[in-house]
Amino acid sequence: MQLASITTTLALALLALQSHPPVQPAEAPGALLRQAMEAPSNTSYVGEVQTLRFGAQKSDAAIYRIEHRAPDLTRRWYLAPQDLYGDSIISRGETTYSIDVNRARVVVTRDDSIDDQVAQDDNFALLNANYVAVYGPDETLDGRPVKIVLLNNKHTGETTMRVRIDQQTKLVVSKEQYASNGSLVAQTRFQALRYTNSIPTAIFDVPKTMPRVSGPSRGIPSNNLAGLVKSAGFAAQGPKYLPEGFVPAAGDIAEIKGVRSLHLLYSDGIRTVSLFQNAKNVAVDMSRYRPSDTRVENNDAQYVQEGPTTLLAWSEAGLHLALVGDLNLEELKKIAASVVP
Amino acid sequence: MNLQHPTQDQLIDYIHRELTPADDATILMHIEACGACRAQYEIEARLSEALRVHARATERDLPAGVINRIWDAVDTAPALSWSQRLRATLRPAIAVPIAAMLAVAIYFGAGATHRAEGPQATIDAAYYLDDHAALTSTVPFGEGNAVPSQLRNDQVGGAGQNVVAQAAVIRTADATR
Repeated sequence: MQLASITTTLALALLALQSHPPVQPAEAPGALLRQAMEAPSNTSYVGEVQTLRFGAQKSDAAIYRIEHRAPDLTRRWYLAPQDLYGDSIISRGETTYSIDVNRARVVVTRDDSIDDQVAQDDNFALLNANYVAVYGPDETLDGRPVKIVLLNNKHTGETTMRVRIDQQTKLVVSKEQYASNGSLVAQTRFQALRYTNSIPTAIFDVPKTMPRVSGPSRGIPSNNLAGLVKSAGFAAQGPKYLPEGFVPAAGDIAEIKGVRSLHLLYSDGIRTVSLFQNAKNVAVDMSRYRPSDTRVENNDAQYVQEGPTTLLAWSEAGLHLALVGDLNLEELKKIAASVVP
Repeated sequence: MNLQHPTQDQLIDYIHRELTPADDATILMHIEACGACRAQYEIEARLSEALRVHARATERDLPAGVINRIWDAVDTAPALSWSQRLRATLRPAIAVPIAAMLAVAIYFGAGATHRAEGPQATIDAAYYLDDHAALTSTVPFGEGNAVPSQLRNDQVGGAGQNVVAQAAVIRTADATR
């Protein structure tokens, strides 16, 4: 009788343990973000992606079907806009094949920086230095539980990005980026997402019947910006003012029409701004856009806005200069004014 | 082009875009499939860039001493009389080229009065927008372009005709990484 009582007590205790599993410590949002960055290397999926980029003059939108086979095979098949319907992009590691049905060609580009782990680590560290990651209320998306992570700028306190992460696969299933005034700058969202490990590799074969054209190739950019400035071959300049949190991130030198052009990229971990410069008489041609006139201190300047991205170009001190970034025009002009004091 | 492995000359021509489109495509396909040729291509590309950099770095003006000696020689040359100068000028070896130059100058000078000034060399703004988007690819959760430039533009790279006609966008990765 006593034995039966002990057995019953133990059984009840076990039942109690099973119905109340031990509470797992909450995962830090920063750690979840890190896992989210690496999720596509481990997770295969198919679905549909909708991207929107909002600008003052013009917005861009695209919808494409996506098939991703981990770690690095991806096909995007465009459904919209209309002029891209039927076109697709196949990424095989660092090489990308843009299959242009209208022009009956395949443009082949190579970008070694896609798999640049060092740069990714540096940029993630920069993001952590300038942004606080905090959880928002949990949600459900297409029947799956998702974690919401808000990235708040440490210097301004404003939310710059909201990321939704699938709790099981850690894949980013939607993200929104906001401007400093709180307006929505860009949005990407997965729909009809399905996780599968049975995507045939033949999907990622590049058609052999279409002629291939080589597009630009890109090596791993340098993070030694001081060295790049010295090797530019002309008296290159850098900005003396940058928004808080921005630091030199990467750069490269390209030969365009025989002109040596220096490209310096500055970032705060999410937002970026590029400075291009050359010392030859080669200005920026904005004829296929709708440029507007403005001034950078005492110099005439022009700018165009493509979605949330602004390009500001001017000439000063024998240099042709251009700034490109998702910052607003006034902020870009402030940076521009500091390049040649 | 019946090509197994491209020769060094063919690779150099490929780097400088001096091949026909068909040969260019053949070499591109071969380089993608052949690691040895890709390595050789990268060596040649780096070498071309290094030579360009070196050529620019070693460009020198004439030393000041040489220039001064030339001007001294000009200044100290014996003065010719007016008739000697006229006879010298009218020699066929000088007069004919001068006449030809005048004819060319008059032809183009007259045309220039009716034509706008020739186009200034430019770089398409699309190049800057695309290059900015490309270099931000390692930024966490970066957006890039909603619509890829490779599919949007007639010119590959979205860099515009002038840029792509040269197609000499050679990157110099820094040795420190």
